[in-house]
Amino acid sequence: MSIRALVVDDEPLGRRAIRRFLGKHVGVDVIGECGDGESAVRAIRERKPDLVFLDVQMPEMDGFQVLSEVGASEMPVTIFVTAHDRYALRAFDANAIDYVLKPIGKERFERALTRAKHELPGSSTATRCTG
Amino acid sequence: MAHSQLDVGRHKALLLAAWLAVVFVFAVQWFVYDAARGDADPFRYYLWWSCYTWGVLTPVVVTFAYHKPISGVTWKRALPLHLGASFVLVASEVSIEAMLGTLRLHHDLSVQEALRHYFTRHAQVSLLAYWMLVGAVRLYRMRDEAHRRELRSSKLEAELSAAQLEVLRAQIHPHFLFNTLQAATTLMHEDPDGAEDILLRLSELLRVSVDESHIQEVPLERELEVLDLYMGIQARRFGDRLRFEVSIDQNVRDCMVPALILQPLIENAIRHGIGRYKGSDTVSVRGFREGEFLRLEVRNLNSRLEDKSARSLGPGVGLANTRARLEQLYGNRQEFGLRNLEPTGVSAELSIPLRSAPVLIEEPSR
Repeated sequence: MSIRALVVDDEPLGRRAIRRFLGKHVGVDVIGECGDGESAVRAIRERKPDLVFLDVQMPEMDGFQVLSEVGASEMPVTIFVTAHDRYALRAFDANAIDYVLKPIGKERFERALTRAKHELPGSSTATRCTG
Repeated sequence: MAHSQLDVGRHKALLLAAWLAVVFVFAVQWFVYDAARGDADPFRYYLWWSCYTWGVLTPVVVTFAYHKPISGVTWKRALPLHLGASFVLVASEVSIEAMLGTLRLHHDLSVQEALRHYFTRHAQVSLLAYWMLVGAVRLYRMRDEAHRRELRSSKLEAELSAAQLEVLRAQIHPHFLFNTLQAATTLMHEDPDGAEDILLRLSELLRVSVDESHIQEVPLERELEVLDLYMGIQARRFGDRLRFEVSIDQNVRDCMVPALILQPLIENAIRHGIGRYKGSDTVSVRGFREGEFLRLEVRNLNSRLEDKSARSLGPGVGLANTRARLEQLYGNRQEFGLRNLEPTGVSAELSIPLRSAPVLIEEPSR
């Protein structure tokens, strides 16, 4: 079974960057994109993705607010995507599996994705541990 | 302000010094005149005499000379005025002298003789004193104006630097900079020309904000070019969400505007509009003539001035600096403010004197 991923960013080119990286992975399907926090909350509740790429700075409801609105226990595995590295600590506090900085580099993205796959139950790659 | 109080203090001290000097010089002159003829009273007597005449006249002359300066612009009116005034004042001075002399010396001269006596003794020197006072006041004013001009131009320079810094700060703000670079890296794979465009625009914007030419004013046309760099980047980043409308009347395109004056306003309109509210927004820039003024408006359609944000007119030093620069450049011949639009949206509006040549750094008209 492939991983179902949701991409949340208020800028279309930010979403497309993630889509492009994910396109190279056969085991990951992008089930949707959201351009703001509110629709992200809805999509997470209704469509229950396994993995979410969550932009921090968005209008009206930012990434952290999305997380607290959905509730930590209901949140899929989360990778924060942000232009600010000052959000890094907060991202880990919020139980994110990883965070990546914009502009996103290929290697850093792969590392975050690998981490996420380890976290996902039933994933075939979850047996290997790369601390 | 502290320095203007200091100026007033210094001004008063100078006035007092000038007054004492004139009184003293006249007392000495009379004393020497009489002493040379072997007919001198004690010096005290001349000092008192001088106090009664030039002691009274000096402040009058100085005040008059200060408020009616003879300059390259005003001399046609001021010169005859001072010529007349100098004769009137000297005549009254000689009359006071004659009167005092009669009262004090109890000599047996008739009024006419006393007047003639004092007129021949003192008129030329008094006339000379009048014009020397006028000259001294003029010199003082010129120095004072030069000092003020210098102060003003250094203030303007500081505000321009602040404006450049503000633009630079906005450019290297992580949210703008890294999202722009993210956009460029993504476009590289889909649309290399688009990626090139966004990077060239970013470079050009950075170049403008680290520019060291210290040009205070640029033609509106040039300011619009800089704006276009910024708007082009934002339009690519936000795609369909953000629309720009620029409508500048042809007859104001060569008008001079303060360099980088619109940039912070556009940035504000985007940050408080599309940056805070989801959905799409239209940011418009309008420029047109209104009587003797150039009016510029930057508005968005979905933000709102709350009491909270109206207090600071948007966060940061951007708009405070905008206000300070406009005041420094155009005195009270300018207007700047933000207002809410109906049903939503905020308009930043400014009016500056309509001119198609750069402003000379002079005292703003009050």
